Amino acid sequence: MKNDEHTFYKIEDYLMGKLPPAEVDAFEQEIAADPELAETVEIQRIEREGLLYMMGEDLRAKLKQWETSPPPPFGEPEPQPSKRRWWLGGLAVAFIGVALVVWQLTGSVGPTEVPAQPPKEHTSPPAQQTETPSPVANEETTPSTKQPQADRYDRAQLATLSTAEYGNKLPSHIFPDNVKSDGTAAESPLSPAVATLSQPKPDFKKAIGELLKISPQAYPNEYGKAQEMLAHVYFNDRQFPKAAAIFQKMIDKGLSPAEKDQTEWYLLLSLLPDYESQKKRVDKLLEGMTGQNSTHEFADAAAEVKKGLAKAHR
Amino acid sequence: MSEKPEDWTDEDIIRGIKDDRLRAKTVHGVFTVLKWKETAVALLMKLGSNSQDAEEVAHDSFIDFFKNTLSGKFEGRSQLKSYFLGIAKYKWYKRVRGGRVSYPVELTGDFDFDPEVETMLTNESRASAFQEFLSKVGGRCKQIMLLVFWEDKSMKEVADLIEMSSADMVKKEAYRCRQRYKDYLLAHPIWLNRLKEE
Repeated sequence: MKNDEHTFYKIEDYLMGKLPPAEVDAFEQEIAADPELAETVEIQRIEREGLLYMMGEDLRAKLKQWETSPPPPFGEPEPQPSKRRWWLGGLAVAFIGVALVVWQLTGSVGPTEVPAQPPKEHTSPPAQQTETPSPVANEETTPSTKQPQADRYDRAQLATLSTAEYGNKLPSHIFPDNVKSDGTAAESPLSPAVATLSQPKPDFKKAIGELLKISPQAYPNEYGKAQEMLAHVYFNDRQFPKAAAIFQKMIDKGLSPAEKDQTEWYLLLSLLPDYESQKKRVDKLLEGMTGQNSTHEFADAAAEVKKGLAKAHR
Repeated sequence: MSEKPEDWTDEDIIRGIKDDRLRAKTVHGVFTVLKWKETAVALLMKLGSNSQDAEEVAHDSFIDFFKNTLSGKFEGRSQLKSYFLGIAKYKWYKRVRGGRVSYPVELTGDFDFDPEVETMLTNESRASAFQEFLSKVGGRCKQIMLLVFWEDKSMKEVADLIEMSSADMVKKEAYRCRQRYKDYLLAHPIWLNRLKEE
């Protein structure tokens, strides 16, 4: 999939009918000639329809609200509740939506959870990573032998669960916006790795070699992105502890809420195959993702992992 | 765009719905001041609906009218209000034909629909698939997306509301959230196939 930000907004304008007619023709010719771009447009069209659906459902709630408690005369601002209360109300509406889905799918509503806290932002990007040895990487070389024998899990089954939850492709967000998939258009130390990973059957070992060449001293601007890519490539090469070590460092450095949720999810998947030695960390992550009041982006997927863990227990 | 909804032309309404900053205000004006819903309810009751069904159909139709206008599916072959009433009439017809009213209704009058109305409505199985798909992704992104794309607030106002440091951070976060939905579809082709238009 083509994933740079420029393409994203161009597709957005195209789907919204905001491109000038001449550009529409040119873009449609480009789409017809490029299957990868065509796939990207199709996925974005569906994603956009999901966004419309989401707005439609919110509008449904608003219509009822406008009827039961008449809004102020048009043009006057609606009274603004405090930030926190406003946010709580929004989350409550979101929760009701999810509960309705659960009710429709299963015929029952689970325990009611009203998220209580707005997300806190951490503004520092996942850029500079330290070179200290990772606790997870160390755990790989010194596996724990202290787990009680009675509490055993099928590692192969857990690895399968982990990779299935990950999906069958590298997530598009890990690729840098300024490097094209052939790796040749922009001069970037990431280009060789991007080109390798953009192949139909990527050579993960080769990509790892390319990414390891990117040091924080030589490439301070690209190092953070290189580390993020490296974590995903390690994961896809089934070097789970090494992937986990990088994901953990990214989280420790501080991320924005959505980035943090996403990285925690990948950390969880990287730790999962070694559940017996990583039980505490996995359980803590799962608890944070699925616990009461959780607004975690991967709450639903984490609940699936919990079920998978129960199945892998022997 | 005038502050008085009574002065709005179709073009004003379409432009307002497509503008992130005017969207909620425009919809609010059409619904509460221009009272399109009331017109639809009166029409449906004339066609044999009771008031409860008429209210439900009018709400559903207003939501479809909004989504189709926003997505650009409405091509302007009729006046905007006629288009909305066409949706309401079509939905009523489908409801009666589908045996979803518990009282006798005789479908009289002209039910020869503009194909633009018929083909633009999301069918119910896709609607339910979308509902399920959206539940797969957590609440945080949903809130950010609604704030950015639906509430008529600037990025700076959104940043203040969700306690982020800047409008740029909000924009970045919204972009990332949308990528997250796309990644989910890529990673789960089964969903991609379910949500593709038949």
